[in-house]
Amino acid sequence: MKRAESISSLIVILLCSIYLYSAFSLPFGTLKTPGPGLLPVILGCIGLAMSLAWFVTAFHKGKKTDISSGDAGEKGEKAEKAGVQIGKLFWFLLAIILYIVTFKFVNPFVSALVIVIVLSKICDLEGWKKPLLLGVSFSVFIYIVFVMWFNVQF
Amino acid sequence: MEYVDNLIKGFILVGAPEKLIFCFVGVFVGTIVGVLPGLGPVGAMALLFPLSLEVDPLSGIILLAGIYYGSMYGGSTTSILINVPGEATSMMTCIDGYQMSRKGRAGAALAVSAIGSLVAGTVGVAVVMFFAPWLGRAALALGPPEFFAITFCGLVVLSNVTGGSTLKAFLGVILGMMLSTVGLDVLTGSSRFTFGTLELSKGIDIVPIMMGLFGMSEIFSTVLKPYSVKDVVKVKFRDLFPRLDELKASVKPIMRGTFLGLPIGMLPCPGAFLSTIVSYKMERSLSKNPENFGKGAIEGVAGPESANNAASTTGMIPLLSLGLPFTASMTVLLGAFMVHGVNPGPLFMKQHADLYWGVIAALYIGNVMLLLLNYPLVGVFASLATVSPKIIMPIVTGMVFIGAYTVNNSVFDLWLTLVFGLVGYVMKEHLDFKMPPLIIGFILGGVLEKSLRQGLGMVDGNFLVMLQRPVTAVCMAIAAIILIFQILRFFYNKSKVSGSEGAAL
Repeated sequence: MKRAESISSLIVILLCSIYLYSAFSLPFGTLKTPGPGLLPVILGCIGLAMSLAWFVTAFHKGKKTDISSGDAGEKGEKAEKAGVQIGKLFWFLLAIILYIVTFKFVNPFVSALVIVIVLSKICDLEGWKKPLLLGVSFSVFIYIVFVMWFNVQF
Repeated sequence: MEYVDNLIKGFILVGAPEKLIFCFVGVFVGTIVGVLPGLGPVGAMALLFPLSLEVDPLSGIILLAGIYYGSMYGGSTTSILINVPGEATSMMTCIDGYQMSRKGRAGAALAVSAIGSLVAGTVGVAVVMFFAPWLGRAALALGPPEFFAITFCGLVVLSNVTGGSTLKAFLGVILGMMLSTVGLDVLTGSSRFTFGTLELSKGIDIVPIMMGLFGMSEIFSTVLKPYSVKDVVKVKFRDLFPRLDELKASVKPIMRGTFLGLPIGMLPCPGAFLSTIVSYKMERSLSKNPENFGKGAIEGVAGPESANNAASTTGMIPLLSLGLPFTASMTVLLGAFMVHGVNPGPLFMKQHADLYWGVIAALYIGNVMLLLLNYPLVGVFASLATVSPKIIMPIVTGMVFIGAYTVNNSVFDLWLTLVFGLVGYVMKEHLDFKMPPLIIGFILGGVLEKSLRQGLGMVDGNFLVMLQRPVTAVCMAIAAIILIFQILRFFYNKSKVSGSEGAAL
């Protein structure tokens, strides 16, 4: 977890630096007539300082050695289970990304049907009847609520 | 009399069939959300946020508010029947509520919980009705310097309401405020941080942020660690009535819980959650038989549930009268107000009296609906807790993205929802970051900037003149004291840890 914090804090430092750099290009104005750059510059400076403090704290914590507990067999089993779940999350994300990419090109009710079926299979829902029923129900629900009731144009 | 007249007008507005339907849908969905572990009221409000935009402001707010207090009712059902708190605020109810159900008194526990919630909710709404306008009128005397100071103080105080690391909470607020500056500057119209893209020039909408941070992050967490469903204790309709002695034993805890929760809900903290803990401890210390607590004492259910509902209701006072959300749920409600072009705050009751009194009337009606809905259908709602996450998660994911799209008909919002979902997941599971500070910073950042720039213009750029105004001075002093206290506490904890490590070596 400490490595995750160090990496995340570095990313935030980078983002705050980009933000601050962009903020300096905005008109600062004067204290009498503050411009659009006033608050961004202040925020950028504070954000950068805080993210540096976070990095130092995370780096300092990460230097301490962890005392591992539990036998090797138990740890191996846990790691295998975690690997399976992360694999599931990966497929879940991939399905959502493909859904968004094809959103404008495919009929929204068809894509809603497909995404619900795909996601329910990724979540290990048994058989095909339940996922199909879920997908069809969801598509019908979307049509009734958003198209018929709220007149949303897809 | 003025209050009564306005309240009657509010009831007439909300009495329209369409409004009643939205109230019912809100409390129904809220109850379901309260029953289901995982998806909390904030996530559900974020999910239905886009739906609320398609209707008039009153209907939209009624819908979201219904989800908010409906989830309080639903959470207690699973606490009592399966020892799983649907919401954090129902945690204390598990202790004695589940023990009562194991003794065959589940119906009595559910009845007392529902009655206590109704009483506390009704009293809470009355307090909102009388106190919020008074506070709003007092706030009318305030100008931009005061609003800047109140918002700044609010950000400092609110940044750590959910606990956790202070540094991360403040950083979350700053990051949220940075996000609020993306788009066109509200005072000069110049582009900021758009990088030449049309989508960013419109600014970042709150909907994808909320749906991503609260909705999608929860979905990712559940995919990685699905919760297991449990067997439910069956409750027959005829068992729903408590005995006379149980009712008698509940009266004082309900009253105490109500009057304890009312002031706590107005504080900038997770008031509903804290009030349940304080109420439980108070009931145990006041009880003639404290040894019964933890074994099915009805006071252990009546008090916390009443405190929870009272605090949840009065939590709306700072939002309606000052425009300051003290909890994540209130932040979502504030977002709903703002996207409808309504700014809660001191002028809210004057400029949108119909909306204000309509919301108050809807709170009264919603409380009654919840009692009528929950009492006979308690078995049905409880069985929802046995629905597998394999079924819920795909449906909720679909709802999130369809909902995010309908706000601006923009695929860019779908990408934002996904990105914020991933960010929220990493923040929650791996970095111990709380989400509410980021949302609070995002929403209040615009208010803070506008009032700062207008305030500086009023005092010719002399910040010290701003501090000479009493309200500004007091608020800035409170903010400074809290900041200094947090910094000192950080260094004290750090030296304590270093000291104990040195001693160990």
